[in-house]
Amino acid sequence: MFGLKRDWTVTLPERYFTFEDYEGGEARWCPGCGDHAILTAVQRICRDEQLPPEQVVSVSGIGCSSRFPHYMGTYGFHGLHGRALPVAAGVKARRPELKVWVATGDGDCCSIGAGHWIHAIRYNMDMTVMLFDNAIYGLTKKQTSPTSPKGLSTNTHPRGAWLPPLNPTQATLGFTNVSFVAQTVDWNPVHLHATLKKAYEHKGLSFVRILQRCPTYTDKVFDDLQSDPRKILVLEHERGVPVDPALDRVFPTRQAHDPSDMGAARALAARDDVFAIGLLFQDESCPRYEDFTRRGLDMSVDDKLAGLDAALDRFAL
Amino acid sequence: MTAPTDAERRPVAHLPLPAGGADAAALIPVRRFHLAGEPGALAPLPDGAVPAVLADVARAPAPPTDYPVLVDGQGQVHGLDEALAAAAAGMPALLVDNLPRLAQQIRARSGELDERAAAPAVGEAADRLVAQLALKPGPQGELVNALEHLIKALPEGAHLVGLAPDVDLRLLWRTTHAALGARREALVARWTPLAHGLRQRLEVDRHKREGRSAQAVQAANAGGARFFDAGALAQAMGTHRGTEALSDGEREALSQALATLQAPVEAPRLVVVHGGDCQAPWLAGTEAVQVVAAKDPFAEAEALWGAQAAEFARRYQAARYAALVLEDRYEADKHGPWLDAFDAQAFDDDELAALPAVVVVTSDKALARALAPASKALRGHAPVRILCRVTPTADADGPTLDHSHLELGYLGMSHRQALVQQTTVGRAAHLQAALARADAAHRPSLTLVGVAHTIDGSPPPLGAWLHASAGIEGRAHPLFTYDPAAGTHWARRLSCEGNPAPDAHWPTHTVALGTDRLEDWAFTFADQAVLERAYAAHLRVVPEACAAHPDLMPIAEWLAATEDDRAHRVPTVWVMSPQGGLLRAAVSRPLALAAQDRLDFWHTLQELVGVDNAHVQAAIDRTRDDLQAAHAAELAALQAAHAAEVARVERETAQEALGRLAAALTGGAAFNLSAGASAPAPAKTPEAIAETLPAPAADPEPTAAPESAPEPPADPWIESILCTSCNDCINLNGQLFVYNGSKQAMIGDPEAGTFAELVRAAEACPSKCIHPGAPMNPNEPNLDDLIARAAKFN
Ligand SMILES: Cc1ncc(C[n+]2csc(CCOP(=O)(O)OP(=O)(O)O)c2C)c(N)n1
Ligand code: SF4
Ligand SMILES: [Mg+2]
Repeated sequence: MFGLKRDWTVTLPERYFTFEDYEGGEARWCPGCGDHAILTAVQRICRDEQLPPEQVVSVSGIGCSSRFPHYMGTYGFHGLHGRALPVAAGVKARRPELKVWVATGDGDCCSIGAGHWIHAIRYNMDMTVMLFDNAIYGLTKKQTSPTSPKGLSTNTHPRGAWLPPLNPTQATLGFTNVSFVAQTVDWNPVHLHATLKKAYEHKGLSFVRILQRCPTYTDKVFDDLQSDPRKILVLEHERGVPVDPALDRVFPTRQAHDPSDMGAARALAARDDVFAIGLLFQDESCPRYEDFTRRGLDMSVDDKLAGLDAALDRFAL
Repeated sequence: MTAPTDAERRPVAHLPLPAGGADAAALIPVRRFHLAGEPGALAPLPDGAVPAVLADVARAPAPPTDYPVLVDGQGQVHGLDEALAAAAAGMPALLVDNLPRLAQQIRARSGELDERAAAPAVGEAADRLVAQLALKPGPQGELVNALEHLIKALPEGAHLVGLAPDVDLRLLWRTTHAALGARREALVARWTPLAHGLRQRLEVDRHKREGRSAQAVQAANAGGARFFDAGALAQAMGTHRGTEALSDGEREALSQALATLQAPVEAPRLVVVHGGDCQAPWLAGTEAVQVVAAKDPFAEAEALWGAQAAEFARRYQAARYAALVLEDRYEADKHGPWLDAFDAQAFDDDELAALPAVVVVTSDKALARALAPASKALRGHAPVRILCRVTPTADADGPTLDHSHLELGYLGMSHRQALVQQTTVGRAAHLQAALARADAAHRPSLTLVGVAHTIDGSPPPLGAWLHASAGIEGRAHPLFTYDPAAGTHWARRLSCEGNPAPDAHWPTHTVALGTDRLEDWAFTFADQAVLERAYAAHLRVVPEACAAHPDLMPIAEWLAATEDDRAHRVPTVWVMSPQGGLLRAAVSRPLALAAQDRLDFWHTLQELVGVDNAHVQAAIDRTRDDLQAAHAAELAALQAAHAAEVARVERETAQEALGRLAAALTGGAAFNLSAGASAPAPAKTPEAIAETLPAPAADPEPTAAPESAPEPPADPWIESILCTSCNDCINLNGQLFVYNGSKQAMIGDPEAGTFAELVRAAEACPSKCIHPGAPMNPNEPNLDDLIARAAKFN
């Protein structure tokens, strides 16, 4: 049209952000810890999306993985053990425009924070929740977590964990108003990045369980998945996590899966012969609680005071 | 081609839903305005109103512009973004991502720019970009570095040229200056051996006449002279041996030819002739440019070119003469008269191309008044180039709209042998190509350049560049090239490349009305008139009470309608007010007819290039009918053959079955149930035959690439996208292994570590993405063991 080459109506943002803009303190996880890969993937997405760092908040509970906010050059909230999700919900409730990334461990989320987990899923506020699942309490030095495999020897169960592990994906798919559930592994940065990007783009709470290696305490738990690529089942769908051709060689086993099919998603989550990676379930029509909590955000302080006065006046004698 | 779905139609403008009623009484003054030109109480368009399809452009923070363009040392025009992208090819993403910002920084300062050397201008923009981004020290250093490389990679001698009122002359000068420089150098190179040869001839002749003096012989043998007696040798060489000396006349001719060939070429490269109205003072002071004001610039240009041709003819004549003499082919009786009459007719293409470019710079108004002399120039032998600036919306007589438009281009084409082109400052590359074509044509040419200013000189509402662009969009100034040298058919001679929607009456644009209504609206000459204050009297706002009346018709529909359909209808255009409101504007009858007039000329051009041409359509119809008839006949023949074949098979099969049955009954041959298999196969169906008929040549079988033995990997490398940033390798050796811009490992300095470290890192790497390659240092200890360990990672 008229020889206009670019979209002239779009204003270029004044600022440009490099990877370094999303870097905080030097990451002090053990060398080889899967947390490094997850941090890099999130920083890359922020950079690729050119998110102004002051518009990004990373929120966590307590644990190795929960040190995440320290390493992000953005706003962050290192919360209390198990309380990452309520803090994140609080941020979203009054600052819905902020991009929120939640880092929570298998202990943090599925044990002490389990109550909050259920309700955060139901609130479905627009944020990206990353479950760093290393099947152990790492920070407290090798205690059984809800996802520790049966028989794993830990400091709390030196002769082996007693109970079958909790399956966080299956559980999340059972919570009311769940809108996005995906799985990936930290040791494939291509799939990890693609999954987190898909989760970031989702409108609502996206829950991503990431199998995360802890070379220090659970060195062997993912050995079978790593040594036998057939054990990883890559989910494919046009609305799913895009599968890069680079994965063909590493993960040859594929299955088509429609992410709107809850029944199939639950069946996939329950399989213990393979670990399905990709998007299991997505429904963007689920209501989001911030659409309710943001009400009145545009009220001026004076209006609020006047409203408060009026309410209090009703109690005046 | 399937029509685009709503999702694929990207609206160029977002507008409110049109509002309005269908009050018949309110329509009366609108009709009166259209038919009689009486504005009555109808409001004029508000100041700053723009055609509705340009609403989003009007809302943009800065008016759009394709300028400055980058003009390289050869005078070639490159879009700024393309030039920056080309210079940044292969550079880090940090730079590539920021090219649009760099271009924005350059454009932000180009408002007042005529032209400037590109390197310092881009350098300053780069400094501003670095300041604007305020990156952290690491990436900032990387960006500064990359920007420096980018500036070095810009084309040599590049200039940024802005949309100044004389941009056409600036491009003309850059194009001709560079081209003529090169051509004259080539000519001088052609003459150098000739001059050398002539000098030698004259020298030999001088020796012959003067004899060999002892000094001369001695001087000629500087070092060797002490071995012999130069005086004796001079004696022995004598003076009159060998060929005859030249006659005085010959000597004179050779000396003159030599002097002519050796004289420096001081002719201007560009001669600009104008009728006293060319405002480009910089030109007069520019190297190798001559500016001449003349009462009749066309005749003056022919005369000037003639004078230059005569001057150059002397050199070309000398060169021809020298060549003949040096080849010993010169015969005075035969060649003398030809050389004496040597003139421009005898120049070859290279010789013609070295003559100054003689360009008449004029305007549409001036040209309209000087049609006779201009026409003469266009029919002449001198390759005079007329560069005529045209205000697309105006007529040569001003914005009166009471005559049909004077199509200078069409008039130009009637000269048949002249190159005629219509171009615009709104398309710098098209304009430069047109100038270059005129330069290469060696025939008279008329180049009509659409300018960017308004009729009354008021500032164009959406900026100069868009104003010029709208001239093409509204068919006021369609682009075309009529090149008589391109062939004998119109189809070859005329090209309308570069126009929007070349097959349609008007270009259309998708607009979004309200939240979910998409419509395609045409942009016509009447829409373009909205951008011209001079036509304000021809547009009036339709009152809201009747804005949705069915008797109002978008002008593109009105123009396509029959006379009967038009009779009670009022043509309208959609306009956006500065407040963002959508207004419907009635179009006066003269303006509507002017739109018709422009459309008619556009249609003429289309017909001439074969679009929407009755002859072409008839030929297509005829060919299609012939093909269909031939196809039907072939099909009928095949069907008949098939039917006959089926009948034959049925007959034969039945006979055979009967024969077998008879044999079985009579105890003859054993009755074989599988005998049916021996029945003749039924003939192919006509469809099957038809399929095999035009059997396209099958693709050759893909031949498998010969398996070549994999080369042993030499250099170490890392598949960076697989790196999990675990720090293992970096902790091992932070120089050998470094992180890239996405914090994924790559090889830093391969010489900063040992092969053992590469192998250990490969073994430690959780994603097995380190490939150690082969050892660099053959003296490293334990190499056999390390190579064996490295093997599984390579
Ligand atoms: C209220 C409370 N209870 C217990 C703890 C001790 N504690 C710290 S981290 C942690 C478990 C962390 O495990 P996980 O969430 O899986 O994180 P990881 O270290 O494995 O990444 C526990 C129990 C605490 N900090 N606060
Ligand atoms: S203890 Fe495990 S989870 Fe914690 S930082 Fe070390 S490797 Fe990572
Ligand atoms: Mg854990």
